[in-house]
Amino acid sequence: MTVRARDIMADAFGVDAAQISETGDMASVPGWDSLSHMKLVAALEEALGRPLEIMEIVGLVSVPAISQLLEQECQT
Amino acid sequence: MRKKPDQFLSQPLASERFELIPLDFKGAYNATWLWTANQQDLLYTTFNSSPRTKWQWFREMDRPDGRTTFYHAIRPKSGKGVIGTHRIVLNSKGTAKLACVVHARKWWGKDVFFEARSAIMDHFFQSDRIERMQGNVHVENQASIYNYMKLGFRCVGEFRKGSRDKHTGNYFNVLAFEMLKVDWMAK
Repeated sequence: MTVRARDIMADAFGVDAAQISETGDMASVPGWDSLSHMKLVAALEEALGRPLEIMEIVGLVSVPAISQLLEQECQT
Repeated sequence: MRKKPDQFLSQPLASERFELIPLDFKGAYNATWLWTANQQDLLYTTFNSSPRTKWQWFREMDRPDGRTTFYHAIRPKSGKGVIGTHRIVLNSKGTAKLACVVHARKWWGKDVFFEARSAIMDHFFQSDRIERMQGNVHVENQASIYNYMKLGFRCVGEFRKGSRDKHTGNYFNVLAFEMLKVDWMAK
C-alpha cells in the first residue's frame, strides 16, 4: 500500500495512518462508517481528478481494493 | 378469509444495542410519517420526493399485516425514543425487499442500519419463506450503498434511468443489491 493511499484513508476515517491495516475491511478498520465512507469517495475523486464510476464505488469494500484503485490509476 | 399472521416472523427482536419492535398499522404509520419530513429521505425510500399529506401517506404506505409486510421500530436499549424504522416486504416467490430510515440524525454514522438489519436478516432468513433479500438504491444514496456493501450484499446491476422522481421529473439510476440465504448463512 502506498503512503498516499494510507493517508487518504486515514484522513477520511479520522484515524492515525498506523491504524490502517494492509488487509483491513469495512468491518475492521476503525472509523470506517457510512459518513466517513462518503468522505472517502470524495477524497478518492479528488485524488484521481475524476468522478468514480458507480461500479468502482461499490467495489470500495477493503483497504486492498482502495489501494488497487489508486495504484491502477497511477499506472495508466 | 384473512391469512393468519406468521408468528415466527412477528416476534420482537434485539441486537446488541437495539430493540427491534414489531409495529402494527398505527405504529408503522406514525413511525414512517417521519420519513416524509425530509425530502431526501422520501426520495431515497419511495423514489418520489413529492411532499405528502397525511392522507396521501395513509393511502400509499405498505400496511403491516404480520404475514408479508413487517415494520420494526429501532429503539436503543439505553433510551426510550425510537430512532428509526425498518421495513421488510415478502413476496410469494421467496424474495424480501428491504427499506430502512434512521431519522435521528445524531445516530447517523453509528452503524445502526448495519446492526439492526443484521438482526432482522438473521431472524427472517430462518424462515423457509425467504431465499433472497433485495434492496434497490438511489445511485446518489451513498450511505445506503455503504450499508449494503458492509452487510455483504452483492451489487447485481445498475438500472440506468431506472426510476423517475415525480416531483422533479428527473430520471435517476438505481442500483440493485441482493443477498441469498445460502450466502448469509455462510458468513
